[in-house]
Amino acid sequence: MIPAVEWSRELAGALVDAAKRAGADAADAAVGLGAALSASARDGAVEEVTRSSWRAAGLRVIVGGRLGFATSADAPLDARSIRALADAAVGLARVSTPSDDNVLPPTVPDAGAKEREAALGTWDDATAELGPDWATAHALAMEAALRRVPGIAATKEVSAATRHGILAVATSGGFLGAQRGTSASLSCAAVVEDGARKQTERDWDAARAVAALRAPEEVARAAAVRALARVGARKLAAVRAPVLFDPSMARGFFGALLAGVSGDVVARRRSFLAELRGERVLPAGISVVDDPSLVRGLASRVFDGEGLATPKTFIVDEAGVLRAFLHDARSAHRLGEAPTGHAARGATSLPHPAPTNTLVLGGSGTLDDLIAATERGLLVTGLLGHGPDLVTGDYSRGAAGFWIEGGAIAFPVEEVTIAGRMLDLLRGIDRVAADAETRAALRAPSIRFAEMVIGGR
Amino acid sequence: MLVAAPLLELGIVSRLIGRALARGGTFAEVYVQRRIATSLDLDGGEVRSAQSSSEHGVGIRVLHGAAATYAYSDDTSEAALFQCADAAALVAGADGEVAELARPLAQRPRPHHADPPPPIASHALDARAALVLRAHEAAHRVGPALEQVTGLWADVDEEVLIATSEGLLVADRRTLVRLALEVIVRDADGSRKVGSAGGGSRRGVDHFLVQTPEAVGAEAVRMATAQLGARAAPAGERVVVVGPASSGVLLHEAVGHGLEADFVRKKSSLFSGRVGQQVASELVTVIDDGTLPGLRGSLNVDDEGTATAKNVLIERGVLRAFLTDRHNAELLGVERSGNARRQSFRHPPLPRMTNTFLLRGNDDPAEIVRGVSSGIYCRAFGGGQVDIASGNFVFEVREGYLIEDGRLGAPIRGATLVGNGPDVLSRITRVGHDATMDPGVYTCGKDGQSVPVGVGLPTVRIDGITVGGTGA
Repeated sequence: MIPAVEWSRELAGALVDAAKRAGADAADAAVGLGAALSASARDGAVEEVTRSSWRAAGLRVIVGGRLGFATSADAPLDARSIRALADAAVGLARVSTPSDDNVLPPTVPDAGAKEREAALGTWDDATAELGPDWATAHALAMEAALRRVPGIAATKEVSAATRHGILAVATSGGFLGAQRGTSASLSCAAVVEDGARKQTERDWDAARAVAALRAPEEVARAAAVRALARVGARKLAAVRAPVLFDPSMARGFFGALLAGVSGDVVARRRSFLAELRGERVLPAGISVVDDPSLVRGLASRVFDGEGLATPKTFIVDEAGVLRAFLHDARSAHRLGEAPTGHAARGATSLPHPAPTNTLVLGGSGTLDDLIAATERGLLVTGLLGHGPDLVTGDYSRGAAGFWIEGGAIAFPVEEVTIAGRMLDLLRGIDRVAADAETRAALRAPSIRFAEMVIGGR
Repeated sequence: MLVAAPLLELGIVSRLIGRALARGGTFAEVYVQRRIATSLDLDGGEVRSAQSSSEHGVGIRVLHGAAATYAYSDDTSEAALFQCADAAALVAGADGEVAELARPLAQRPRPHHADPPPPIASHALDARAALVLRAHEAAHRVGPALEQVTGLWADVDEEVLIATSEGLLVADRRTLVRLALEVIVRDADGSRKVGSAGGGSRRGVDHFLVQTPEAVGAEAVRMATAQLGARAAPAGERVVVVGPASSGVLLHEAVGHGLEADFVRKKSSLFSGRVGQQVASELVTVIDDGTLPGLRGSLNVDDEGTATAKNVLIERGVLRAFLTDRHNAELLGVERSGNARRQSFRHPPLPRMTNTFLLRGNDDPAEIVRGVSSGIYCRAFGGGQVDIASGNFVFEVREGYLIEDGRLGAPIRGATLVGNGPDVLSRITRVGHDATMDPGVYTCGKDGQSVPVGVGLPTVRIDGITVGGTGA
């Protein structure tokens, strides 16, 4: 792998040099390369094996305050194509409007990045070296385990995958670094007959290393149990009641909060949180922390897409008060703040502010405790539709889950809606568990909203 | 713009097919694509960024019974491509079945429904930016109190070459343009109201001679200001009238996905095994037509080289046919419908929709609204989503109104419609004669692959659909 790391660093550096020669005042480049393997299984046989490999480069230039960005998925390998990409980026800059906000961050020398990457555990040799046999064997094992469960009518999207990649970043300010990452995942869905309809539920796992994944049989069993529990699901009459989210649903909900603290949407006044910094947005005791340094965290990293180190950031502090927006150089400049090191970037995308690993802290107990503490209410385990309207904060989704009566699950529910306004919902959280899962970068626990409007028959 | 060169030398293409079948398999395909995409991001009348991406790559697929392998490479050197073919060949040899020798490639006359416009690159970048600026200025002319105006230009020029072990060889060139504008106005209570409009097609920059940027700007302002003073949408079951055009999202979600042959074959669609049965009201005839000239979802050939077609999926409520690609058509024992699509060479083809619409009915749209004593009128929608197995779907209402005593009343905010596909289709009691396609803005996502589509619907009355709001 070392030659690939060196190659990507050198190419990123060469692109920045070419941009300067083509007339750019400032430039940064990202070079990505990697490979992924995935296999799916169905009816006891391998269904599809996909091998992918990519090698791509993206070059951002600033010319007289004007921004241009060009990418090539056929990564430039020779001097001529490097020059062509630089010329394309500078040509694009000519049509854009000059802006003071088009800046690169001040560069801090990259000391000890390699050691820090090793300590973060983002790379696992064993995972990177796997061939397709691991993926096919695990997909087959999950599929077989699903079909062994009585009552499972069909299996769906049973797949196992591994991936490894490198992203190198170079800036005209003098930063040059590369970081590596691996990941592995298992996913499957079970289909059960429910009268004339069918119910589908899935389960999945993801980790930096294959060794950290749950056993395929365990993932299969969880999907089957979830699907069987949905049989006989019915609608509800419209009602106002407490609503519980399991950790997966809570992840989506807090994902909307994170989308709303992106410096880019705040600067463009497209966030319902834009004017709420310093105000309480969650109940006291619940905090939201962004942490790029979690060991083996799926979004852990040593530097961001503009070469900055990312500190641990309290987005919402322990008093439930919104403290920070997440910035890249441009959104920070636009709001007159300091960059926070949250520039997310792929080789072919412009940097934009985004969280790394995010933890929702301050709760206790599990989902079962939340259910036991609820006299009557709706536990949501599935949502349809997109998140809230970030501008207005209106939240309205199709929901499925279970009705709770007397502190216990009474029956499965489907085809209902839940709705509210984001800020009211955030402030209306009245119970938080401590059962967040590590399989995603956003680790949210089960939560309960004191009341939501549930739409039904 | 690169100088036009053959996407890949045909000698190499045939050798790749041979190599992909070297370890067995019943079918091999080489898909070559070159694409240049350009986009402009405008904010407050300024071009915030100008971006372009260029891609050139090859995807190789081998089929073997129900199994498939897929490998791709964005490195188009001969060595990398042969490595890619070897990777695609890997699994097919598992049980040792030896393929027939691939037939020699023969270029076929490409069916064509519209002459492609000149490459977008022949229009200067600032001429493209000027179109969005015209929409921006028009919005400010009609809506002086706008808090914010953002705009987008996006265009794609691509060439594809598809060759298979059956001897098929097809080349095509495709173009896509899209312009979008979004405006925000501040309501009396401080809340923000969003209006969005846009359009596009495969007709190139000339599209905007017909749908003018000024009309786009005015429409965005109309939508935002129409929502001033909106009240909370009701929660519960209501009579819903959906307006024409963009409401086709309902159809796309409620039935379209469930008619895609991969879900049908895997029996995860509730339409599996129901051809010939009544699955919707007799007023419902659903068509998917990839041949409509110039529309966003239109193609000369699909991404397997099959000619696109006009496919009647549901006829007067009776299920007639599914949307198929080669693989699923063969396994289901039906014809290929010309609906194999892929996002790029990085993805294997899937059965997908092209332009999907509900055939017009006989009712006067105004009369449909007048016949409702209490209900909801939906004029614009955001995205939607469906659970294929249960048929349950959801979609977001971007612009909606109460209907009171046969008249449009106050605007409503924050509504989501939730329903079950066949259930909702059986509750359609009025179909207007105003069938219209959407202006060309929709992108459909499936299995992580996005493709442009068209949707269409006349004014339709649905007797009972769940509205998810917060009001009474």
